[in-house]
Amino acid sequence: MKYKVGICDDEIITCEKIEGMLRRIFEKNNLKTEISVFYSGKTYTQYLQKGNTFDFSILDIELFEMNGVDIGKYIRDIQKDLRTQIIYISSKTRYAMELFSVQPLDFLIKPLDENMLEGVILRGLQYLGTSQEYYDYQVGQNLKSVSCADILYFHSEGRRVGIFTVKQEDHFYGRLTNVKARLPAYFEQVHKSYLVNMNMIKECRYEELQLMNGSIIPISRPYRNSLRAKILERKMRTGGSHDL
Amino acid sequence: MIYRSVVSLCCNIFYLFLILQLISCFLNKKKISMTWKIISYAIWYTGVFICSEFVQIPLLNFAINTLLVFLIGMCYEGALLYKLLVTLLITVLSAACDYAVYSLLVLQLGISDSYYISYIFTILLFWLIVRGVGLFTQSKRPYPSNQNEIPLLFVIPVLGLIILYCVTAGGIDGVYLPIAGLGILGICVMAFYIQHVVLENMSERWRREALEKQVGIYQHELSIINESQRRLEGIRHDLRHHLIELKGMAEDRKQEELLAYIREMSDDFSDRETVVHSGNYEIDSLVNYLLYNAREKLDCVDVKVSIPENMKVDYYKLNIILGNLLENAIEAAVMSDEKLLKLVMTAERGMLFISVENSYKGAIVTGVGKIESSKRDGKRHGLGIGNVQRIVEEQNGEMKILAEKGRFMVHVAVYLDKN
Repeated sequence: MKYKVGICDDEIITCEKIEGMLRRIFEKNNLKTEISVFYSGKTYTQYLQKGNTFDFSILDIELFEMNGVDIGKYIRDIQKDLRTQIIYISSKTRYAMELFSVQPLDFLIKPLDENMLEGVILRGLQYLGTSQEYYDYQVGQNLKSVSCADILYFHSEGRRVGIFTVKQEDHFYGRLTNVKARLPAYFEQVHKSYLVNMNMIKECRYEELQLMNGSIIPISRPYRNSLRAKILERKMRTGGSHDL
Repeated sequence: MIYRSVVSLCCNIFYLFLILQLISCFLNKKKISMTWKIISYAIWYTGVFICSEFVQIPLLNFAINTLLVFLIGMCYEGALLYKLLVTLLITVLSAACDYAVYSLLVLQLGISDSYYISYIFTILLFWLIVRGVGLFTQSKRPYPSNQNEIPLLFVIPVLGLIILYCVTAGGIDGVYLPIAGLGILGICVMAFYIQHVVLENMSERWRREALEKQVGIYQHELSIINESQRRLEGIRHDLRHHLIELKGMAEDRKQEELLAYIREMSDDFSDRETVVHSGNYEIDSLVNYLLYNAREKLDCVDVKVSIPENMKVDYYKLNIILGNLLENAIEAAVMSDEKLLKLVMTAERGMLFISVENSYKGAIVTGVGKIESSKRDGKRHGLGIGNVQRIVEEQNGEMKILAEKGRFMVHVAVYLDKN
């Protein structure tokens, strides 16, 4: 599997450096990569407009005409790409709350440290690697298959279950408990009638979750404390410190 | 006879409820299964009934009652001696109520007790006392009370009991009996009011100390900012000169000298004293202040803070949590061989994650939810991790503690405010 990486920075030297680091990192981990470099936000978004996507988007926050937040919003809200791992780079150590609304994977300060970048890439790979799993269900005579990474959540409606993905929604006969048993570990039940893909969370609150497409999923009382504990456990496992 | 028993049994249910309320004013509940609790209540219930019906010697009655309440007290957390004192207090209070009411209604006013009326009034009086004590002991204070002082308070009700006994044994008659009883009750209640006032003062003092410390932290931050301003001014002033030098070296292709020169300039740019510059002054100043000293004393200080400016969080509580965790961690790391400290703070998806890791030396025994440290001196170090946990839980947050292979890790997750 070839991982596609897009770099967007108006400093040519920075782009070269990052490209070099990425090639070494992917090679070290026996992975294939295809790297595309862009020197402005405009060319980057134009490329995406043609239907291209990246697994990793490494974006400079301070660009000449279009800043990193705008590109991030373009990716998430207009292209509706919820899968790509956005890594922001900046020469400043401070950044605005706005940047969080696009669920970036991490922020790195220039000059980039190769070890830190590797740690972030490995973490991103953990989130991405999940696209190999599929969920199959039956509607009438047809057997349908959806990539688990694209599923936002399941909602039980009586005897039927609604499956909501990034692009569409569908319904099939089944029970939520049976559905959960056939899903990977990153799906959690947060309500009697809701089963959520934890990688698709945009914002966590105590009583509800907001998913990346804007949907608000309630967390019922019995699940609140255990979900909070699970979120912390996930964070503890995936880490985020220097030596990954 | 049967009527008395029925009244007694019904009153005892309410009595049990009042005892539980009174205990919870002083002790925290333990996390044990409901069955154990029900078993202890059942034993208390039968014990009290048997005692009141068949045991005639007042002192024995008192002792058995204390034991029964102590049994219920085992379902709560706290040092054994403290629990004994609390149970003693409860039994004294209820005995004093009983005494006051009985001597007033039956002995003084001459009301016939065939319907066990005095017991009903005893329970009612006890209920009032419990409400009163509850008001004084349950105000939400920002800091926990020092449990060392409370045992002194219990001397008062014990003395009261002694006085009551002397009053009966001494054969004092008439209206003086109920007055004595009520008087003792009054003294006990006043004692708790005084405790309440003292604790309020203590927490005021603690808050003032915290504020003074915060001011010290800000001063430190300001001096750092001033220093870096000064250095930057210097560089800016000399910038033209520096550029000429650099240009010269680049033209002569003196790469080694060029790199060395740039490295030296970068050193001047970097603030050695600051570790964190997230833009949140509260957090930056606290972390910089604490870690500035840490870096001198420790071999490895690893910090990664990825939080946005103007993060919406309760800074006051966050500083308490972060400050205490870091102070504990630094203290433990200094005493260890590895001398390692790691701090990771990330804000994502509406939550703030803090993780503090440190190397430690010595045994950390994780008891039933308690963490024992190898600190030997009797002083209180900061708040202690149990209280940090309490504050985290009050914020609707989650905290996990891990200790293994010479590393101690505390992980905290709290929700950020919306908007």
